Amino acid sequence: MKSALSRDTQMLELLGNIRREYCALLDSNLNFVYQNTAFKKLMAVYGVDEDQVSLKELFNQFEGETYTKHWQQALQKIDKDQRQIQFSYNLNLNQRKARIEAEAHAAYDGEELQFLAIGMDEVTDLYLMHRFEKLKSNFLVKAIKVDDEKELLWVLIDELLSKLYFEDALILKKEGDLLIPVAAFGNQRKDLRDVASIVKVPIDQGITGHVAKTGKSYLTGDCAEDPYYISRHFDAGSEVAVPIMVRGKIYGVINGESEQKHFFRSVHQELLEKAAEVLQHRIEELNSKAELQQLEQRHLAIINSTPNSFLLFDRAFQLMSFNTAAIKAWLHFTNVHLAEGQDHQEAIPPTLVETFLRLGNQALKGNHKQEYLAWDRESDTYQLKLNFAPAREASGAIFGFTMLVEDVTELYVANESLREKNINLELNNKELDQFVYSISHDLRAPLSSIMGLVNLIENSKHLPETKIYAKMLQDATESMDSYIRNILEYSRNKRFEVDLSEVFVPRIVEEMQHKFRFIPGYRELDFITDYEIKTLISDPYRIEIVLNNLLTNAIKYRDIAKSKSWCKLRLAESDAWYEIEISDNGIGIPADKHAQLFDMFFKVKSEHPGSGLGLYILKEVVDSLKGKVEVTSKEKKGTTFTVLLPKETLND
Amino acid sequence: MTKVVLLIDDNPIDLMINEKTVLRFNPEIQLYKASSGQLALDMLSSGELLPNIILLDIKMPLMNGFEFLDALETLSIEKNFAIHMLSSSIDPSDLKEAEDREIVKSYIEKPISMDKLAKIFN
Repeated sequence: MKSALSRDTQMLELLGNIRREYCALLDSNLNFVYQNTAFKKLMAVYGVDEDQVSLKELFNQFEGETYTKHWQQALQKIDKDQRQIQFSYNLNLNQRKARIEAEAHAAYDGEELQFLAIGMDEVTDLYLMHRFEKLKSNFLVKAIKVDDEKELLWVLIDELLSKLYFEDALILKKEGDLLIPVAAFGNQRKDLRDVASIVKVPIDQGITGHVAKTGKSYLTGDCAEDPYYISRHFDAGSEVAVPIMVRGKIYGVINGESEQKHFFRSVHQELLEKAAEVLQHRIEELNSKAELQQLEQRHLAIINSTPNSFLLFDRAFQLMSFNTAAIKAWLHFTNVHLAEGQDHQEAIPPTLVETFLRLGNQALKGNHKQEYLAWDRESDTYQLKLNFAPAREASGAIFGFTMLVEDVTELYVANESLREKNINLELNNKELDQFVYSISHDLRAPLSSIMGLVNLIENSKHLPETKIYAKMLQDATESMDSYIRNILEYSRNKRFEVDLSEVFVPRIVEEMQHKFRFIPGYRELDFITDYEIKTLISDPYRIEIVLNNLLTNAIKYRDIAKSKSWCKLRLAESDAWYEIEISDNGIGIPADKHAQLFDMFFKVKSEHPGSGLGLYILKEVVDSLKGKVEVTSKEKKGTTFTVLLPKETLND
Repeated sequence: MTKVVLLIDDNPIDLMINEKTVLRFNPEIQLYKASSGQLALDMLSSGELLPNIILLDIKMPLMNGFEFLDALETLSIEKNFAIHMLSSSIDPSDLKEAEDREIVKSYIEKPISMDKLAKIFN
């Protein structure tokens, strides 16, 4: 009894160690001594009769099955030294993949096997979870090398989804209001990288649509009963779909379908959710990377779009980075090929090194510095603007400095010309001020004379006296008229651009002679013309002013003491110039007055009639024609004015 | 007592107008004319001419009215005369300078008239 009791106790202890859903106890010949209810039911599923009592017979019955091999191998390992073993294997259970965890405990009496307790659990869900974690690691290792989003989806299929014992899986990507199949395996896949179905699923259609719309995963054990299910490729028994969310927005859907009802269980839903999450992180990473690259690209685009040279140096004055403009400029101006890591002694031209180090050191201290310098290259001088600024890390620490070289030559030239124009403008304004002042005076002088004469006429009783006053009135008004004409000529010359055309000089001179008839003294004058050429290319209006001024002067300043007065106009040309020469045998100009002759309001003698503007205007006009005027004169002998005008050509 | 008046003006027409008008105002007046400042200075420094009133033009070549006043100051003669500027200038700066000169009694705008002369002689 003791031994029998002991046997029972041994058996109970053995069984008690096996905490499994399915348990059984075997004797030393592997005949079943005990089967728990679950075990019996399991056997029934496999069509094993209740009176089937030996494990050996079961092995024979299911010879060739994987699980049989697993069991046989495991049991062979058991001996008196190793009395227990745990192992696991996959099998098809109810036509689905199942993971079985099994163990066996042996009880020995000396060398002899007494009993064997066996137990099994289906650990499919746990197993899948575990497997998933391993696959996930594999996937991540591969995914890290994949930059293409579409390829990433295929990698997810190949490394993860296709290894979870699904019949198929399909990843759809949301584009607008549609879900586009992108990657798949099983009957959804065609070639290596081709999806069988190209049917685009509108959002809100079918289970995938529903998931895309709600952003929540969905599982249906029985498609036939499901309100969202739409049959597409085949009539599915069960279906699972989970959303892929990227940055809080729906990116796509992972979908699995099975011909069997209830194939998909909540563990599958959970695994797909996890897969979607893994994918989400990787896509977000990819996006961030792409965005970062884009940002870098944008910054490069900005930096490279400027014609200015940008260079970045580190604290040791070594070149860290530069833009394309810098490459070109350095090649062009210094024959230096810029390279990252280059020492400043190599990158910076010797003439610039002192400035570079001084401003660079300032920038490293946090100061922004700029300086202008002129750069001679061949016959050109470039005006450069150098900007030095500290380069800071996000923390604010200075890691180097930037050097910006701007070519401001154009600006400089424009500035210079503006400055010149300003000076001219100031001069013009001063002239104008003086002009206004003089005019107010000069015009008022003959005017007040006229008013005075009118007063006299009003109060005069004698007719002859009146006649004298009237003559004086006429002189005063003529004087005023001459002022006004001069002013008009002056302002017209100032205000109108030179307008070139063919000028036939003899015709102008004839018209002038016609007008001169009324000038006192003209009739007594011999007027001689000597035309070597007759036509000039110049501005007719200005030529007229030149001729009129010089010819009226010749008439006005004729020498009455001489028996015969003459005036000669000669027109000739040299290679580059037209020559207008007007000479007379008039009173001449004292040598000490020659220098002031062309000054505004200058008169050789104050008693001379006129405004003192004639020769000033002549000079202005000749200047505007880019010509020269020369005078030779001797008192009491005569005067010769020579006007040289550049030969122009007409454009059309 | 007859008044002695000196006219200084470079413009012969104005000189004539001024002469005629002054004489019409009072034919008794002894009138002297100078066509430039230098000429007037010569006349005054000779000591033969002792005018009561000088009518002085401003804008004259070589020596303008104010330069004449400057030159006059250096002249060691008795200056028992009233100087009136007589000018066609309406430039405020000329008016200002005339006011600033102590020796100048008034500034008369050309042309001269009986009314204006009446003010000077009273």
